[in-house]
Amino acid sequence: MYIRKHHFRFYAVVFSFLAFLFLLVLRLFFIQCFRSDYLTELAEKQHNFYTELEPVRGTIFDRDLKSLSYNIAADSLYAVPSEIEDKIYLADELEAILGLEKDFLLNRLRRKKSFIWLARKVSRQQVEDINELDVKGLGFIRESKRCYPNNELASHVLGFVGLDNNGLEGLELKYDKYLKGEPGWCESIKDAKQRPLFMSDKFIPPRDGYDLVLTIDQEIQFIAEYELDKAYRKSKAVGAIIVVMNPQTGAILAMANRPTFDPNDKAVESEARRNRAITDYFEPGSVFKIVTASAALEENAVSEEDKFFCENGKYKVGNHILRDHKPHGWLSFTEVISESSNIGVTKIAQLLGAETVYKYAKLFGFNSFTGIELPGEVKGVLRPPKTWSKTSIGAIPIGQEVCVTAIQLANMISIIANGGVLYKPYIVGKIVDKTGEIINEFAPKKLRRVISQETSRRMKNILAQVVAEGTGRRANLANFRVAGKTGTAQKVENGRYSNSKFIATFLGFAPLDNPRIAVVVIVDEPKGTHYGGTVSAPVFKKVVNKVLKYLQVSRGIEMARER
Amino acid sequence: MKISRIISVILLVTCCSLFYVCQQTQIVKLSYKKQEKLRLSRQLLDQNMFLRYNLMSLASSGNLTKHLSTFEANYEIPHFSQIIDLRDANAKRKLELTSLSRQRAQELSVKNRQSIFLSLFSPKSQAQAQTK
Repeated sequence: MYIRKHHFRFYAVVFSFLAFLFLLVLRLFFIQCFRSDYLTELAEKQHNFYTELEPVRGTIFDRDLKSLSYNIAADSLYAVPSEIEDKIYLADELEAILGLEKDFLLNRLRRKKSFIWLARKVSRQQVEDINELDVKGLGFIRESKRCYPNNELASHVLGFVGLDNNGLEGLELKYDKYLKGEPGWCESIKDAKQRPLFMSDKFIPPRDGYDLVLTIDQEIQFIAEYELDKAYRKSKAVGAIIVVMNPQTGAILAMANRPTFDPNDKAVESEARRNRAITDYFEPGSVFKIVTASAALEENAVSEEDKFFCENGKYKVGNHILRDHKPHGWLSFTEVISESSNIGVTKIAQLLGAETVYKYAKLFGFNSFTGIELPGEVKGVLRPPKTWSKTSIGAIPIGQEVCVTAIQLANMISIIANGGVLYKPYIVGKIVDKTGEIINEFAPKKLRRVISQETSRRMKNILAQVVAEGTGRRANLANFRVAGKTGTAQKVENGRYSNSKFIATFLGFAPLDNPRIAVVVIVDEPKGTHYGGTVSAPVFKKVVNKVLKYLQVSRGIEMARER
Repeated sequence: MKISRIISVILLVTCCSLFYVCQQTQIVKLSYKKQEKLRLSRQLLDQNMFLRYNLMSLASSGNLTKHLSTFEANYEIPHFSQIIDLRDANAKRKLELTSLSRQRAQELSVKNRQSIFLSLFSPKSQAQAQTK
């Protein structure tokens, strides 16, 4: 009896253990066979995470491979609002460090979100100050920040980027798809404290952005901006523009505007950010006479010795009295240009006819886009002859009733300098990847022949006279022969030509025999003296003098190294 | 026997499991170390980046001019004749010295040869030899 009872208890215990074991096995079977996918996915979500790998934005170099733009690491501050205990204290502290308003910070900290940005791409000093606060719920994410080591230099050409490194202006915008690259991603494993441990096999590296090598020369850009800035400040002008071009190829060596801006400083007026060299058009004034004179020589309508009576300074065209800045009697064709006689040029234009003048203006590239790789270019205004009034023949040939841009004027003078060919102006020389392999290279592009070489030679001599003995004397250089043309255009105010607002222009090239640079200088509304020959010509002289020395010097050093 | 076999199997399985777990633990420890090294290398790279940027910024003509603009520094490009390429000058000097030393060595060797010849066959030596 007693033994039977024991056996019963024994088997009862064994049975209960076996039953329990069976249940466990059943449970394991259920988890392993039916729930494994779901649980694996849950586990992966908890300890795997995907990170997007930001590519490095391409650098912009000048033609000597000096960096004009650069990328540095910058930390962006984020907060997890639920983890922050004393939001008011934190807002107080961050207000002092970041310079942001306390209300703005409190507003963001009180949001019911698990992640909010507080400030993007803060400085290293700010990062250190915030780390010293040692507040739970704050963190930094490393991002890349675009910087420009030369500050304002070539700012209108380079442009700038937004917070997310997207190009917003200038070359940064135009070549954004080349510069930005492609992001990569990787899968990482993190531990229980959410610290990243290591990457898994799933890894796609980012493709860094391509670099741009410009035709801009940093030193020539500096020289141009330095002299332009002096003239701009001295004349208290509203604006100023300078373009330096290689007339043999169309490569832009320098392009600058005033007012200017620092692309490192995001808070800038839109007025200062405008690249006036391509976005602004204006009446060019007497510099446009180059077109009329070239047309006259090319059509064999005149020769240099032909005489024109300049009506002693007053000449009626239609119902309008045309005046010269100084009364002249008989002038030769060369003298008409060197003394910039409006009446003389009008008579030459009347010989040619409206159609011919218009045809050559179009050939020279006016009223057309130059095709330069910068956003926002305008093509100017040039009305066809059928819309001309009776006075237009006395206006358009002398640079009134026509609107041009600075880059078009640079093209025009380059045509004279290089023997009569219009080249497409360009600013990007090549696109390369990080290994230096060339992705795309841009060669000089000849668009068309505008005037013959003979006409170009004759125009060069005439324009040399302008500088030697005419209105452009202040552009004369001691060491090089220079050719150029002055222009002083009245601005239009309330539908009439103003007597107090002018645009002072000088354009030219040097050396005369083998032109290496063509320069256009435009000063908008200079105060006091307002003539192109007095305001802009001295800038041209200083720039050309320094640039030619620099080019000779740099050429000399290159030759010495080759030896 | 059966029990000992079971126990040995269990022990073997346990040892293998422990070995595997130890391996995984080491991998995790190494990954922590690697993360720390990565953090340090990133810090150094960032510092390098900042220093390069500072160098570029300081060497920029525009920034230099701004610093100097407090006293009107009239910026002038030197004439080509005013420039001396020191790098080349040093190289040239070394070349000159080397060629000089070679020339000197040659001259010395010629002189030595001559002196040996002279010492053997000069009238003085002949005279000395004959008297002995």
